[in-house]
Amino acid sequence: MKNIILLTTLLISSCAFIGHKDNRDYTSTTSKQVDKNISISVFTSSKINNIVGHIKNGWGMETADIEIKQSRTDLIQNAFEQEFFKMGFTLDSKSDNKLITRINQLETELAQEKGGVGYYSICDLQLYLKTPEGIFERNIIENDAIESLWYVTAEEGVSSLYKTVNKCISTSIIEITKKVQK
Amino acid sequence: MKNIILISLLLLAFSGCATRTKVYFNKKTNDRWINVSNPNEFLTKEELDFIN
Repeated sequence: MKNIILLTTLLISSCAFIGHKDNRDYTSTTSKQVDKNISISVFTSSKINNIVGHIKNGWGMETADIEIKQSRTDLIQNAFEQEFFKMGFTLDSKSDNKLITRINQLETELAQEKGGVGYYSICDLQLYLKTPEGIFERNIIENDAIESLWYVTAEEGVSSLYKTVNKCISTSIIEITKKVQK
Repeated sequence: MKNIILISLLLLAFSGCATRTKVYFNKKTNDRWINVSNPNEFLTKEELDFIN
């Protein structure tokens, strides 16, 4: 009987019912500068909440949410503005270059992979860029993973998500710069 | 009876591990910009307002 109680306790204790609220902000790592002065205006059109993932129990059932400080819409909008500013762009609402971002997918998922466990993050953005030459569309996708043999925390999941956002925005800005500098 | 319950719980624990979701991210970035000749067809009213 003692064994059953012990095993049941162990099984129940593997379930996390308390959500993780992450208070960290996105921080930029860009240092490269554009060659000439380019102005741009940015608008993130998708309205998405701040739940970026879920904490799961041993059977893969979602038991609690992982939340970030701001909505995913604000995260992408602020990240673009920060990175453009650091790259040397001028942010101007009257600019001829306008960027619309739609968030197709932005999340981090806890899953078992290759015998270990990890948080797998994805950032999938749909970009519409208006330049004096016309309107252009492009899809930018980046992934990141943080893996361990035994255990990963929700905090590590959020770090992986921010890293993915950084990769996604950096790739986007490189491609936008090439397009507007032509 | 005790053993049956114990075995059932063990089976439940191991079958649970096997049913975890595996994630594959197969989506890839487009390699070029595509010209949008008719924005009214693709953009929402809010997006068109921003662009104009």
